Amino acid sequence: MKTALRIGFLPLTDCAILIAAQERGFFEKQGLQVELQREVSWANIRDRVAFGELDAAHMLAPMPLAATLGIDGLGIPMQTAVSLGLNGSAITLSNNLMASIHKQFPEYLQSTPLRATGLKALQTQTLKRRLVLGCVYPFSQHYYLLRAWLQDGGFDLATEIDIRIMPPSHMVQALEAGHIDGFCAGEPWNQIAVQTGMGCVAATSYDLIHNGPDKVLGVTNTWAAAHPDTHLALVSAVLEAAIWLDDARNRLLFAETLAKPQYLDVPLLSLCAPLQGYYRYALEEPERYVPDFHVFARYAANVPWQSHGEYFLQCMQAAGQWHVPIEQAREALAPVYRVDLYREAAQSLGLAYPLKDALPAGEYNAPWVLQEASQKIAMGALTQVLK
Amino acid sequence: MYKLMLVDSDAERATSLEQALQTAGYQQIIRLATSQHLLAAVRTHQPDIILIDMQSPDRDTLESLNNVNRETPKPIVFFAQQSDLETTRAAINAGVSAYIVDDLPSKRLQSVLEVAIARFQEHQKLKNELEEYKTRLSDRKDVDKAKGILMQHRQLSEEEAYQLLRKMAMDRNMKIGEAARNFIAAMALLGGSLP
Repeated sequence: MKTALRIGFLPLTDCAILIAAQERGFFEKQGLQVELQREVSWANIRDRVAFGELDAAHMLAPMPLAATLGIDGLGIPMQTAVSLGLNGSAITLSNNLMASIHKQFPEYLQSTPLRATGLKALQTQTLKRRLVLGCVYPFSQHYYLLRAWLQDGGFDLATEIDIRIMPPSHMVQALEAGHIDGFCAGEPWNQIAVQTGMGCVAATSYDLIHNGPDKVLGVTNTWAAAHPDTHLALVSAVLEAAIWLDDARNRLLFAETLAKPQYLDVPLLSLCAPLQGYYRYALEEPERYVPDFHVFARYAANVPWQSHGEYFLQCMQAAGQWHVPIEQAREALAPVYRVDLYREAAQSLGLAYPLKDALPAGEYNAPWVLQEASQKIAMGALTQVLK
Repeated sequence: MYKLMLVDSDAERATSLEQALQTAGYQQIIRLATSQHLLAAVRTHQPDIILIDMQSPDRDTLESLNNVNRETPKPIVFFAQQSDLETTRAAINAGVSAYIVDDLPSKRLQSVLEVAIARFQEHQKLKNELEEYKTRLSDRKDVDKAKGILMQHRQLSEEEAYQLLRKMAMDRNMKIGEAARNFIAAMALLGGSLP
């Protein structure tokens, strides 16, 4: 069994599970010696995993699927057997834009989550120009959510919006310099924009889709086939770390580790509150209680559901990234979403696991219980707020 | 003739790569140190090949030209599709990545990439050597310090102290500098007076 591993991550709050696995000894407990390697771009993550320089990495949830479909520029098939949690990102607008909406179109502010209708009114009647919005990567929940939110507000994405891809750590700077009007990215960058007085959060990912996918741990199919025991140990370590990190007391402790220079290298203040479920949308407003802003383990958050793949196929198609009918792509999902391996890891740890590979069909707009599981699992709402 | 764009914040490396490419017959080379205005520069210069340092966070931006921004004059294709896997792997190992317009003959790219890989590797070697030199220097300082503590506390000669340290390092499968640092740290914990 291969025991010395290199795992890549991008400095974002949602890589916390990997850092907890390292710092709290969960990798070691599974017999793994892991070196965590900080990367600067998702393209680097893709390339270094694809060509074996990294064994595994923190990836945007649609990345393994995009790789397997051959639409990520490389086309080296990848898979995930464990998700790194749910929710955790947000859409931020510049203070100027938000102030103008407050002043000129207050009628659009009277519901929550905030729809993009006020922004659309401002763009059509006052600004009369394309809006420029930053986003992290074309194959990301962030990109699909941002598109859905803008379209719900009545925007024509082709003619009224310019989505500019840039790394999350550059967003606040770009907002300050006026290069972008807003952005969609993971934490801590939205909170940093709010705390430094550069922007206001319009909507969190939780506001738009309750408990949607965000990041996964990805490996290549070749690696998974060559190192099945290592893969299982890796998934087990991640599962244990996720459970440890979902405990509110541990989150408070752990924020300090996460903020360190070798990991996120950001002010502790920008991490603490969201990890505790307190989220600030605007500097002059009190924090709102969003207990599920970061979900690391509860609600079967680590299951690599095939239904997430089905959802991403729809998103990719809507975004013009994938042109084959979904029925024909469905068979690609099983090798990407390794629920079988997840089950094996969960079973070895005595944890509850689902019996099916996909979430049951139906509407779940309030907490519910997953019955088709080794032990019943408490689940959170799965509401798609944007219709 | 093909137009090359070189995005690298390391001026020394960029200069040496530029010279090597010119020697190889590429006369039109645009150099960008920061990638602040990368997209604008791509639009203005319309390069045929872009070489970019993998430490630059702007690879994601560059790749999105293909995916998101429809108004860009030239489609950009990631090099792996047009070069062989070994070259791609070597480039990634060396920390350099390349993008090309999609109608470029792949032989062209191959030769540019080979020059870039060689320069990046050479640069990395120099950097490693410098690192190693620095480590050796600090190792010597720490070994001297650890020897001093041993000589004082156990009344050893310098040679005896050194042999003891060496044995400690070998027993623990460590480098002697590392063993010396551990020893100094442990002594500090015990409140031992440091010379």
